[in-house]
Amino acid sequence: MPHAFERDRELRDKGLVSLFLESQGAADDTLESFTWSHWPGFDAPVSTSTKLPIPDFRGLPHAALIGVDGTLLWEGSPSDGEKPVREKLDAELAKVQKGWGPTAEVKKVRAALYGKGNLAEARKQADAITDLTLQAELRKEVDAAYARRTAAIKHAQEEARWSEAKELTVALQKSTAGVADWQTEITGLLASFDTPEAKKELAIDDKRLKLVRALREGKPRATQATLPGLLQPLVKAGPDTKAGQRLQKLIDGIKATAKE
Amino acid sequence: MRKTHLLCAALFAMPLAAQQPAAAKVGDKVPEFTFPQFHNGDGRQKLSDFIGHPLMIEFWGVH
Repeated sequence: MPHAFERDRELRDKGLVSLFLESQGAADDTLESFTWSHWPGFDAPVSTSTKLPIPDFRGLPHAALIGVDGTLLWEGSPSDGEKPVREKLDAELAKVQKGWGPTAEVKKVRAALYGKGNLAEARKQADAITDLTLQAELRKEVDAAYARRTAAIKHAQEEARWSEAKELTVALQKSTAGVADWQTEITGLLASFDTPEAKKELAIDDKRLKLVRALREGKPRATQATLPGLLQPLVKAGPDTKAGQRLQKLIDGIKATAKE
Repeated sequence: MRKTHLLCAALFAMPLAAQQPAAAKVGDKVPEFTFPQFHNGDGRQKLSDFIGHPLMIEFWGVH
């Protein structure tokens, strides 16, 4: 698990998506406090495991790499060594940057869409494709990416991760510059951060996010014992906010994990 | 009697088999499936929602 956390930290910004599935029956509402207790600042997606259509495995930890087009590329454990998976992973990350697909036009669209995260450029490239069937497919792919990004903003707000939500919105605004229909919706999303309630949430969540990022870099180094002392002052800034309540739940969970 | 039991077992097994697609092998396209809701996630749950980025699924345990 530490190797997986480290890999996520190193490669997330290059396009890797890491999903962590607990596979020994832990309760869903203990996962965040458990991961924080062992890896302070843990902020990757984590959930309980379920039956997946990939090969069964005999022991933990175990991992599976699925490529940019949905192909199973590797499955194994850390004891297999890093080299086999790293070569495949690097090849996939190169595809994210350069794009992939049957033609140079398709690659251009996907390089803009997934590599640069530039939706306006991706839509422009898609519209320039002369094969109308292919054009429609790529437009659908671009529109779906836009829908996922707006959904991610709303999801972060629902989880009281207001600062991330705002960062995602600002990035989306930049990514869609010049596309009127998208910009109209994004202006509405941005306005949702200007309410008195949202400002209270952001005041506390900005501090949380800053601490998360510092902890991920090991500065400061924290332990299960010292984490509550780092987090508790943040709650005092807004105990009645959703962000404050989320933090308090995390602190209580870390303390409970320490007693076990 | 034994045939009846076998028939019943087959009938009960069929809906389960239909719900769980066969496991992909390395090199195969992974059939569509849905993850549970993630903490710290971005709302994506279907495998197809992750197309476009390499996806590392890390199985781990608390014990």
